[in-house]
Formats: sequence, C-alpha cells, structure tokens
Amino acid sequence: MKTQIELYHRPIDVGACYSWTLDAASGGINIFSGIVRDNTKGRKTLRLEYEAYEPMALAEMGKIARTCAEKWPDMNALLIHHRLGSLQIGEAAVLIAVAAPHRLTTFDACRFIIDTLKQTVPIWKKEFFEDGESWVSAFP
Amino acid sequence: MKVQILAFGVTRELIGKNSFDFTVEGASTIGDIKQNLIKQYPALGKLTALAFAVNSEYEQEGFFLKDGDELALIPPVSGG
Repeated sequence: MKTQIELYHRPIDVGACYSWTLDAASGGINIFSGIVRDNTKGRKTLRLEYEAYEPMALAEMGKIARTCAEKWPDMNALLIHHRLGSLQIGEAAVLIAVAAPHRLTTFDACRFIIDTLKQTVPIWKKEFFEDGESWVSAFP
Repeated sequence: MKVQILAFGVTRELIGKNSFDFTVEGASTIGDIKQNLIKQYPALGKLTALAFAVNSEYEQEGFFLKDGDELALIPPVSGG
C-alpha cells in the first residue's frame, strides 16, 4: 500500500490528492474532506485556527495507516493531508483518500480514518465567533 | 531531574508559553507533575480532559519520567 501523510499551511489541492491516490489496480477511490462550517449550534463562526504537535501528529497518523493496512489488506493507497494555521469558511481542513479494488473497503477505511484521527491525533482547533473565541472541546 | 514541558492549544494559552523546563526532586511520575502544574495553573484542572505524551508517545499518569524527557500536555484533541 502506498501512503502519503502531510501537515501544512497552504490550501489543500483536492485534484492533486485524487491524482496521487489513483491506482491502476483500484476500482474505487473514496474521499472525505472536513471543511470549515459557518456556524456551531447556530452561533456564527468567522474562522478557525489549527495547531498541531507536529512530530507526534505525523506519528499518530502513521499508526492509523498501519492499522488500516492490517484491517484492509486489499487497500492500495491511503492519503491523509491536514491543514494548519488560519482557515476561512468553506476551506478544507483535512482530506482523506483511500483507493482499493472494491468500494466497501474505501468507505469503511475512510470512516475509520477520520473517526480515529479525531480521537488520537494531537491537532487542536480554536473557533472564532463574532462575539468571542474558544478551543473546541477544551472545557465541559 | 529536569524535563521539558510542551504546551499546546488551550494549555499553551493558560500557561502563557509553549515550552519550558521543569525541575523536580527525585523520581516523579506524570501524575506528580500534573498536580504541580494544576497548583500553579488551577484552570488546567477544569479541562474536559488532559492527556500526556512523553517523547511523542501517549503515556498514563503512573509513568515515571527520566531526566531530559519531553512531556507534552495534550488537552482534548479536535482535528478534522
């Protein structure tokens, strides 16, 4: 399985991610992209800021890739790109792409990857509202 | 024994810096240092959760630190 895992501050190029994931032996690619929404529970969001413990975040995403290779040995390609810094409404914060011979693996793996990333990878976002700011999930 | 503490996200803002050295007498666990930090920065004790990583690996509070370790404070993650 080929793997590409990156953290960076520039916009995510969806077309380039798709092209990298294409594989002659694959019959399907599944792409999940997490984007910046304009509100949280009705409160208007202006922008988000992301930061990471970069070496550990890359290592934890590498662990996710290794778990995927064990769970879905038919997977041909896995790409995880996560953006850092200040993001505007509608911009992609994360893009996950999985290629495999058949669609089931791509759906299941994509969901597993984003769910696990949200639980284990040391990346944080701060939400900026019209009337304040807060670190997501920091306080009860 | 001296460890380097790294603070991210809300912990970086509560402490006011992203990295500092922390000196302790004798053997210390992550939990010992956590209690010390909460004494200095009580808001750390009010977080939804606070996890720790030693040299980029998650470790539990009973983990014994050694001189020169890098201890990262990991408040609730929110990537994606």
